[in-house]
Order: sequence, then structure tokens, then C-alpha cells
Amino acid sequence: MTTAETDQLAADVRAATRRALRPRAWTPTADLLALGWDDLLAEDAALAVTVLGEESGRALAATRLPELALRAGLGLAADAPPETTAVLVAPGLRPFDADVAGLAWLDDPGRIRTWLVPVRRDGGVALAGIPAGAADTVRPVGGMDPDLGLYEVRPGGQPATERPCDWPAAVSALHLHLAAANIGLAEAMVDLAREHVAARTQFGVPIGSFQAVQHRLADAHVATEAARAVLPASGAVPCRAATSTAVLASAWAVEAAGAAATQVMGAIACTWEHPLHRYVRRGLAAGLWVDRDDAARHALTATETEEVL
Amino acid sequence: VSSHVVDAPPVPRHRRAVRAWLLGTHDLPAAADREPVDLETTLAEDRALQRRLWDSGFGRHGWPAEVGGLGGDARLRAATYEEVARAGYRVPQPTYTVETLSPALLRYSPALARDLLPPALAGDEIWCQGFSEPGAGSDLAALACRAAPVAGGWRLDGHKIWSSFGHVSARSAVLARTGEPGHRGISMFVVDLAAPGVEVRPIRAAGGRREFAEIFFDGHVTPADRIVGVPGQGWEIAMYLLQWERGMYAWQRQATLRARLVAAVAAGGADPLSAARATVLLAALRRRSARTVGLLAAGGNPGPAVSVDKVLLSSAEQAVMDVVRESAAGSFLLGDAAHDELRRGDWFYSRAATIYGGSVDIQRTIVAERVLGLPRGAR
Repeated sequence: MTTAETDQLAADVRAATRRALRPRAWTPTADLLALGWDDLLAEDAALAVTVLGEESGRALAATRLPELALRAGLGLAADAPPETTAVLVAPGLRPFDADVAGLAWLDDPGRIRTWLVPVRRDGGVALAGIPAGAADTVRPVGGMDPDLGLYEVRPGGQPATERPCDWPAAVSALHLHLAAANIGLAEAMVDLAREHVAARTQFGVPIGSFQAVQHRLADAHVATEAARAVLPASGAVPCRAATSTAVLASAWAVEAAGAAATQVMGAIACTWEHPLHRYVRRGLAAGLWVDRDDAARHALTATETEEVL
Repeated sequence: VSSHVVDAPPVPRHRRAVRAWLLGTHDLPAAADREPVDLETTLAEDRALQRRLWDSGFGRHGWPAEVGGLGGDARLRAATYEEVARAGYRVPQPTYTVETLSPALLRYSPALARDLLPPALAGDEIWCQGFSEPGAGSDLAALACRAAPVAGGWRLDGHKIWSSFGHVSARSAVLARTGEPGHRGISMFVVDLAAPGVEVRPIRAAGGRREFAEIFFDGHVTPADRIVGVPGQGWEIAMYLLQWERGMYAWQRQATLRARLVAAVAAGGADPLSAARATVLLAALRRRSARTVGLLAAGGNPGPAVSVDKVLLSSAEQAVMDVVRESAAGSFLLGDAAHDELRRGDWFYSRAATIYGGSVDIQRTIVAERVLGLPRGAR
């Protein structure tokens, strides 16, 4: 595809995604798959993951997109459809050892027939299939971001199947999703703050005219633009060096935007009623899937030889 | 910038050719890991490398034929600098000012460019900026240095300061007041610093080197044809030139800083998260400054978003030099070897990165008001 064609595709996908997402609520996975997710992945995987990711972050939509990205990284075959299978993950996306008690993004736990579990094996990671059953313990997760649609799952059964898997590729794809989602979140928070500081007056002028306020939001914007600059937004999902760079940059952007927005919006930002805390929660919860030390090590291996001129 | 050469190589091919030449040439000066402590010797070596690049032809790619170049656009020059840094050499520091001043000269005074630029491009001369004054830093339009029309040219009286490499420079691009107060009354001149009525005094920076200088004009008469553009156009030219500083200077620095960071990480002792943060900032700066260089090369105007790049560059400079400092903690604090002195000097100079070339505080205000659209504040 030419750059213009890629841009057009991204614009089309973005518009369709905005229509499909339910702002500040759970968006059914079927609605996302109906966007032509599989075809889009085949056409431009990074574009699919990042456009949907960014829009979900901006809309504060809770979705199964993190898992869909992860599945794209794994290249799961048609025998493991998202309608009846779910991937269990652990914080930091570390593969499981003996004890399997993981987290899953679910529309409806009752429809899952098989839990797909990354388990550590000699020299790598395998994907075990554990049949779902009455002995499973499945409960919704509250915590920092109770709207995420996350469930804690402890399968009661034993692995019935096992297939080799490229877990680093799965981590890479999920991090690519998170990086994009964080950028959307950060922009949404800066937008909320922009509106507020333009409207709110003190000392007879809008507080957005004070440099103390301006510079905080400018720094948040710079951090967000830095994250956008290193986001691999089209092509195949790249290796962990690139996605680690992207996810770290986006995590710093979310932190900067959350802190700046909270401060310049004053007391209203600290209320339950105002939505800002939900964005802050989403941003913090994203940290669950990033082992920063591990990501830092991968980011340091980036060679930066891509021709950008 | 026009080009008389139609078959300039595409960037990747040019890169490969430069890389092969750098790999196969074993007597080049300005090795990054053997930098002299004093700036003057460093700059002499840097100029020698510039000369070798020019003579090889690789340094001519990206410059128009009228100034001795082989054609093609600025992206070729950018590729050359990055390959130089990757091969373990210093990006010649005189090219920093060459890269900001030359595009402005080529655009606004092609005849001056043709007559004066070639020695600066080839490394035979260093040029400096003569912009800031004791009373005009961030508020550059408040500058007071006067240029009055006299027989044979313009008489300059005034005081410039913080001119990088000023004391070793042959010429300076000087902003002076030729008309009304404010930015409309400003013109730009190319001034010979060895001429009568000009005195240059170096200033020793906190890191120890004589990084910048004061320039005093006392009745110096600069020839009439040394004005860049037309009277009153100085501000417009300075703003154009600053975009090149945001683009090409940032690009040159990311290439240099990346080499520093890679060396510091390889030496061990760096905190991985701090090093990763520096890596991320450099990666972002690389992509953004490449885009700015490409836009400028195509004649476009990157607009106020380049202020984002300036804030990023400043952060990256300081993040990298902090990693260098931390990874060499003992010798950084206690060592007296030349490279310890250099590391400390570089670290101190990185503290100036948030100040020179437009302070980041001004850039943040530009981002807030002109990119984010926040209400305009009092000045």
C-alpha cells in the first residue's frame, strides 16, 4: 500500500471504530469483530491494532481488544475462535508455571468452552487448552478499574491440548494495543483539561492563560506526541524492541497527562462525579500488562536503523 | 532550494555509499572517543573531518550546485551526519550553524550564499549566530544592536552575547535594528568578525570550555551587500532559520546523543529504566526531526509543532547525559583524565539545552497557545 492508501484505510477504520465503540462502557466483542477485524489484521496488522486501540482509549471504552491483539500476535487458528475460547494472562504477561489462576477479558463467561493458557516449557512457552467446566472459579475483578471487563479465572480442569506458541509476539501485539490505547487516553485527558482551563476563570481571566497551567499541559502534549512518534502504526506487528519502546513512551504520556489534567482541573478533578478519575484508573490499570524492567531491557536493544528520512 | 543536478541519489543509496566510504577510510580525524579537552582543538579536528567529507563528495550531497554542492535535498545531508555518528566520528560541530544559517542565506540572499558559503560548507570557516543580547534573550525582538545606513554600507553599534563558537568564527549572522521598535524593525547581516570595529570575547562555560562569546560592535561598517534579504526582513529570516534549527540541529544531536547513549549502556552501570527513557526520547526525536527536515526540504512549513521537538531535544540531551553521568559515577565525580573532564563538560552543556536556541519555557507557551489552543496569556 502507498502512504496515501494506508492513511485512507486508517481514516476509514477510525470512523467505523468510533461508531462501533460505546464510550465509557463495555463494547461487545461481536461489534468489534463485525468491523472486519480478521481481514483488517491480514491487510495491516499494526494499523488494525493501533487504530482500534487508540480509539478505545480515547472513548474510555472497555473492550476485549487487548486479548484480540494478543491473539493476533499468537496467530491463533480458526479452531480457537474468541467466541468460545479465552486467553488467560498473568500480570506482566508472564507465562504460568504450575499454578494457573489468571485474568481474562470476557463478554460472557458462560460461553467459553476452552481456556487458553500460556505455560512455561523448556526453552519457551506453550499454549495449553484447558476445557472450561463446572469446577472453574470465575469472578469479576474490581480493583483500580472495575469497568475493564476483567475476570479472575481459576480453571478446575487439566490441560487437554498443548500447542507451541510465540509468546513474545503475543506480548508485542498486546503492548502495541496498549501503547495506542494509552495515547488515546492521554489525549482525552488533555482534551478534558483544555476545555476546563479555557472555561474556568479566576482573577478575571481563563486559568488556561496562566503559564503555570499552560506548561503542565504542554508537557503532557509533548509526552503524548513522543509516544505517537514511536508508535509503529502500520505494517506487521514489530518485535519487542519496538513495541517496548512504544509502550514505555505511552505509559509515561498517560502518567504525564493524568497528573497534569488532575492538577489544572482543580478540585472538580478529584470528585467521583467527574469522569477524569476513570481515565486515570484506566491508565494505571494498563500498567498491569507491562513489566517495565523487562520492557526497558527490550527497548535498549532497539537499533534505530529504520530509514525515516 | 533549487538543484542543478537531477540525478541525486535516493537517501538509502547515499547512506550505503557514505557508510562504505567511512568504513574503508582509516585516516579520518574527529573520532568520537578521542575528543580533545579544549574546544579549539576539537573544532579544528571537526573542520578537518568536514573538509574530508567535502572533498570526498559525500559532504556535497544535499547542497545546491551554486554553493559547490552536488544537488539533492537536505535529507541527504541528514543521512551523512547520522552515518558519521554511527561510524564513531563526531558530527562536526561547525555544521550546526552551517545547517541553520545556510538554508536561510540560500533562500533570502542567493548571491551572498554563492559568494560566502562555500568555505563554511567545506570546513574552512566557522560561522556563528549573532542574535542574543544582554537585554534580548527570550524576547529577541527587543534587541538593541543598531545598524544605521552610512556611505558604503551599514554602521553597527551594539553588544551580542551567547554566540556559540564566536571567538573562533570568521563570520556571524547578526540581527540588528534598522527601523522601528519590535520585530518589524530588524534586519540580518553577514558580518566579518575580523573586521575593524568588531571585538569578540570568549565566555568560559560552566563545564570549562569556551563554548560561546560576546561580540561588540563599535562603529563597524559592514558592506551594503551583506544584508540578508531586505531591510526589515530580519525577523522573518530568523524565524525561517529557527525551523532548520528545530529540524536539522535536532536530527544532528539525536545522532550524536544516540552514539553516546549506546556507548554508556555498553560500558555498563547505567540504570536500565533511565537508559530506556533516554532511548525512547531519542527515538521520538529521530522520527519527528526527520519529518521536519523532510518538510523543510520540500519547501513546507512545519509550523508551531516544531516547538514540541525542541522540548523533546532538551529532555533527550539531559536524559542521555544523566545516563552517561550515572554510568560513570566514580570517574565522573573524581576523575581528572581528559575524558572525565569532557564528560563533565558535556553534562554541564546539556543543562544549557533547555535554554539555548529558544528556552523550553517559551516553547511550552507556544505549544500551549498555538498547538493546544489555550487562551493567550500576559507576557
